[in-house]
Amino acid sequence: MPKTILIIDDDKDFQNAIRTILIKANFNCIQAYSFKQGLAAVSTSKPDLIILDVMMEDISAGFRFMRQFRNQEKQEKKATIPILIVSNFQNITGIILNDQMKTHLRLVDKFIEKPIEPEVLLENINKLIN
Amino acid sequence: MKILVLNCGSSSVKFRFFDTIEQNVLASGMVESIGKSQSTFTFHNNINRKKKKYLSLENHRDAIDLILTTLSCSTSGVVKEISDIDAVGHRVVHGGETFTKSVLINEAVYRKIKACMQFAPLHNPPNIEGIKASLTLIPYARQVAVFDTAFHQTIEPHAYIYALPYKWYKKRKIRRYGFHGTSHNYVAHRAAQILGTSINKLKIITCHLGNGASITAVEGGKSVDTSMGFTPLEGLVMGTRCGDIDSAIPLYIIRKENIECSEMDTILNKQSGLAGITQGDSDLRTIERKAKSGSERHILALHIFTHRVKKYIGSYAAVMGGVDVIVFTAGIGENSSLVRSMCCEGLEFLGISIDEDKNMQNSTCISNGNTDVLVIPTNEEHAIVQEVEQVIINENQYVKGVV
Repeated sequence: MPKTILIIDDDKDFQNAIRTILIKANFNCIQAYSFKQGLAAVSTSKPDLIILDVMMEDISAGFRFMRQFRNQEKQEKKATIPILIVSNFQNITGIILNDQMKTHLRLVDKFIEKPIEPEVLLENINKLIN
Repeated sequence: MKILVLNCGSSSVKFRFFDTIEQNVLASGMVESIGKSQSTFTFHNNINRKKKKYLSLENHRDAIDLILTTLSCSTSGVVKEISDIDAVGHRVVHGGETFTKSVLINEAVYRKIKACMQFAPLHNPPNIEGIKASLTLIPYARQVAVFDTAFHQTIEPHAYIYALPYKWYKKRKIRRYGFHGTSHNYVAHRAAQILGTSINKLKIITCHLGNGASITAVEGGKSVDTSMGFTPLEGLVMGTRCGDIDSAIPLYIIRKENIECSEMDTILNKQSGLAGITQGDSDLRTIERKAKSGSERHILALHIFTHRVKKYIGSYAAVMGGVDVIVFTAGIGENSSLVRSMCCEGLEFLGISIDEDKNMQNSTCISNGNTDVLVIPTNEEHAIVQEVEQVIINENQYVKGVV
């Protein structure tokens, strides 16, 4: 049975590119374009993994999604769904993921900076899903 | 909603932490001398405790880290965890022509604020540092930019275009932007509130007289002209800035004294104004004191300063076809009865007449003529909180609509 991946990213071109790669690799895809749409999508579907952007309707929307979603999982005692952040965050802001930042990002399973090679993306997805 | 306001200067961070539900300032304070051997940290919480620390803080991130740690510490803190902060309001000095109001910071906004750094190389970089530090330390909070220039974006082209080659405006965006917008907007609205009149019906001249000083004509709640221009150098005489001068003077001195442009920039911004006239005194309290003891140069500085303010009041009354209210605000405007009195002297033809007793007492209304003259403490941080709250409310409504 193919695994389902939820992509939350406001960049439609990036979404479509990723979707093509994932479908070729035999994954199902759900797409959401904002923090709120992402939360709505996880409440109605059960993805096996979430690919998450950081800078959407605002510069840290992805971080807020991550915290709210993890709190929700905890409250509902649900199994943790892996989150893979794929974002331009460091390139755009110039912020380096130092230890202080990593403490906040402990809720995320992997952080990859855009642009991303298809093989690297699939390798990370497979590692996190399996 | 719990909102933190950050006002980052080149070597300082002012902050105010506000609970919008309780309508209460939970804490406020300031870090000064960032990057120097002894930084100062002042912290007031809502039970009025104050503390000062002397530390060496390397950069704005360290300073904001200290503020956040103190806000959430067990002894003097006011929140359990820093993640309880819902939003951060950043004062951003220059928003260019791009920003006409406060905005939620997203990727595009962040890029544009960075692009505006060319217009305010001294002011915008620390604002960006504040945003970066806040993103690093409280990544779950929403970040909102409140621009000093935004309030003045209602000014018409005939008041913001300089009589210079027009291509400079098209190519380099050389025009009047104006600054202190948050303060002018805040005190103009407070004036209308105090008088119990709709701001739409008022012609107000707001005089923000601090170490940096500017004056704005506010008609129907909108800025129609302002004294600061492409940079905060133009307009009134300031602590160390010259304000309006004949633009041929720097060119003449550069040629005669063979100095570099960068040196001239320093002279005009840091060695002129009140400090230039008095040869070192930029603080108006010192100038008043020395003027009272008879120093001619200090008397002259006071006269030059107040004469310039008076000229602008007259010209803005002309621009608006009259004036209903004059507002004095900021350090000098709120505290110097002498300056207020001198600025308004001889303006009876505009209905401006000062009641000297009320003026000496720093009363809110200090006039006894047809035109109201008010002393209103500015509160830029409070104005920023209101802006942030509105941006978040609008955003939530917008997102609901999209989903």
